[in-house]
Amino acid sequence: MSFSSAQTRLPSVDAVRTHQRVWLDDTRNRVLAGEHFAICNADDFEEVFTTFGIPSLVINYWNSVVTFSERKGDHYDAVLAEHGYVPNRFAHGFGTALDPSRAPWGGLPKPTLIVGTTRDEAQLRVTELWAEAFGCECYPLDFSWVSQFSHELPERWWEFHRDRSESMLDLARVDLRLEQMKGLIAHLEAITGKAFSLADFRAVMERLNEQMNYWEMARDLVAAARPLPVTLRDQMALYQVTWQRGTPENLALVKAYYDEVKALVAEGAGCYAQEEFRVYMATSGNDPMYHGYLRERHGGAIVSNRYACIAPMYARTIENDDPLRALAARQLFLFDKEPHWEVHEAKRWGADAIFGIEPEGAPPSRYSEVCEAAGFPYLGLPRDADDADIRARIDRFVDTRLNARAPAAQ
Amino acid sequence: MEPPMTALDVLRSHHADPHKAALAWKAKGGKVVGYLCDNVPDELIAAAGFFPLRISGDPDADGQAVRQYVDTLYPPDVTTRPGFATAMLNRLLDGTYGYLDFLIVPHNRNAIQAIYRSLRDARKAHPELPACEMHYLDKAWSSSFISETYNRDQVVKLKAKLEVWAGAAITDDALHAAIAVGNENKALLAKIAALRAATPPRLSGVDALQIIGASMLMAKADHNALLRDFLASADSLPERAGPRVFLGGSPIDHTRICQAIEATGATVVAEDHCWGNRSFDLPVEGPASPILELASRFHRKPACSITFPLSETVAGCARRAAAAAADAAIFYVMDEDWSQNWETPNEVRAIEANGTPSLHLKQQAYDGGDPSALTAVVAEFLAAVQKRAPRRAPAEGATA
Repeated sequence: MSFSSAQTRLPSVDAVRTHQRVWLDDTRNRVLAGEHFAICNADDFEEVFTTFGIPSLVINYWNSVVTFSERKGDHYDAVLAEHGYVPNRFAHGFGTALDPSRAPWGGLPKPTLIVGTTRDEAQLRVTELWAEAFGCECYPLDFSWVSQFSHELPERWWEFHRDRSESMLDLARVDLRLEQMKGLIAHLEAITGKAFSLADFRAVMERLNEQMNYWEMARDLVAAARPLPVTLRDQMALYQVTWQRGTPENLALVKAYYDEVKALVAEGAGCYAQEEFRVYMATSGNDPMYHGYLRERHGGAIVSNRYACIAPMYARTIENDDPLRALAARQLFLFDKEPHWEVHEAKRWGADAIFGIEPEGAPPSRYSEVCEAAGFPYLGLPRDADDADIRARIDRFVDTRLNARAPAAQ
Repeated sequence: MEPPMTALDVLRSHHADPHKAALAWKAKGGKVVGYLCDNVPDELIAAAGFFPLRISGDPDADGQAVRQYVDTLYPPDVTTRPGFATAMLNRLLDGTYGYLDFLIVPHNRNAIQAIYRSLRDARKAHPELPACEMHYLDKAWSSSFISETYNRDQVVKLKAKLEVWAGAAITDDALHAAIAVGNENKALLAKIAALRAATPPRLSGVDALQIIGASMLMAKADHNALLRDFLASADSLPERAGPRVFLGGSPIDHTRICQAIEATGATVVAEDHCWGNRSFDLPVEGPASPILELASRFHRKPACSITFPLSETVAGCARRAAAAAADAAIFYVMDEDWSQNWETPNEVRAIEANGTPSLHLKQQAYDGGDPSALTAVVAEFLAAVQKRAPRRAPAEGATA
């Protein structure tokens, strides 16, 4: 079941999509010509690779290409199962190395190394196995978001990122990370024969900050505009520019997006036919499958999700001329899935309701309590699907929680 | 009149009632420090004058406390965990461990380290829940010297915290004494391992797991006395016939899986998890600096099975299976044990390359599910193995 969609795609976001494919083709050609290439986790070592001039592919991004863009998740689930594993989405990229014949976009070239992520133990193993499949090195860095477990975050932690990020962290962990990063940088110098330049690295970090400034300005325009000028699908597609942070090309892509958004807002352009009420998604998923039904049946628009607000959190003010420490601190904490933050974002987006994912039959969640206490009707759905059950739940929620409300005072 | 309990009976009773020794200690006015996993330096806890108690789960519990108090706090994608982690967290929430004075949560696999935050947040949201002061024992997982120095600092921090809790310094003498008792315990447990890896085995896997498990549930000195008593008459233990099985896969803090396997007539001659032989395989070395030696072991000891590179984990597993001269290997991997999910296929390949056939059971229940069903699957596998090849001789001088 689905409703047809007449949404248009923004040229500036299509340019991002195109850029990604061109970048991968170009990278493949460079590797064939003998250049280096690396794979690492999201929010990890990309800025350092950029400084070295080594193209790096982010695992989560590649997984989303396999799973969502190219819809090859089922195939790679089967490949992983054939090799004895219980499949999961994080390993789809690894699956493309086990069976390159059906990999998207012709597959990945052999990397020089894969940074072994220890964000959790399973991810470390997947990166090791992936390196084994390629026959390349796996270089592990301790990269657990350990502070999320060992330290309490301050209230309104989402305001700390750019200038006060170390106050959210275990400083001994920052020191450890810094030492390990220096170790990998020295290793890359030995492999590539190139010297790492702190000045060049600082320029990458400053460009990253500029990139995120444009993102933030564009996001604020989109969030404040009525009607909504950019679909959730395009907002999500734009996120791809965060996988190569601090490059001139990606800065230009975000700036072009900002310029386009500014023009759309000036025109009063809307991306959906109706906007009877606005929904903020407290999830990390893509544009949900039931969004078409919500729009067509109820005129409701899902205006954004947490990803629109995560990207600016990559920006970091460089203190004491130490861009490496700024990056180390950034790598140790980006965001927490926490309802007070989601409420803050729902307010930014002028939402009338918040949707989340909740297990079937579970007691009321803290998400639900915090959102409702803040005045947002909250709908916890058990899955992202467009079926009779999900539609019935949406109908009931809209009828009882949204349509039943008194009109807002103007 | 009932016959007096043998040393084995007493050891079994402590395994069956994991709170028995700790509560007796409390009754005498002592304090109990709970800890998770097998890499927390329990010698430090003992040297501080506390009773170290390893936390275990209850395979009969339904996880209701976790669902009610923890899973409601976070989005569902961050609350997945293997059953053994749920079982321990459940006991820490439902009051079973309400008598703990302190708790140490190490940075091992995510589901373990998350227990620290889960308990903290759950107690904040539900002040009626049992509470004790906690310490987060961080650990760098990578194997470099940079990580080793970091891990040393974490052990020093733990020592300082224990001193605050105790209100007194931990002396080197106390630490040396605790290490000596701990090392003796490991040496005695190695003899237990040799008994069941003998040809033929003289001890069942179920009994071995109860004996080993009890070492983490009672005072080490008391455990040593029972082990010495038991080992003194070990020559009279009956020989066990049947296939020799190596058990790999997820950590299991109860004996049901082993029971289901041994119900086929087999003996689990060794296993590769932290409630079995792996829990005592690293004594503290050297007399020079006790804190550095504890720190060195903490660094070398895998956090759960996490050690880098994977090939080391795989080689260790294959080495244990070969040393026990196993006829067959069974890998019991629990649902949501993603760490083991990515390790086991390589372990299976390594063990099969050594000529040992393997059965890889995936997405299994923590409680073992229907024991007769598991026994039937194992029996079918072992029957096929026995048809394939005669039993191999054990490696010369091998111990598991």
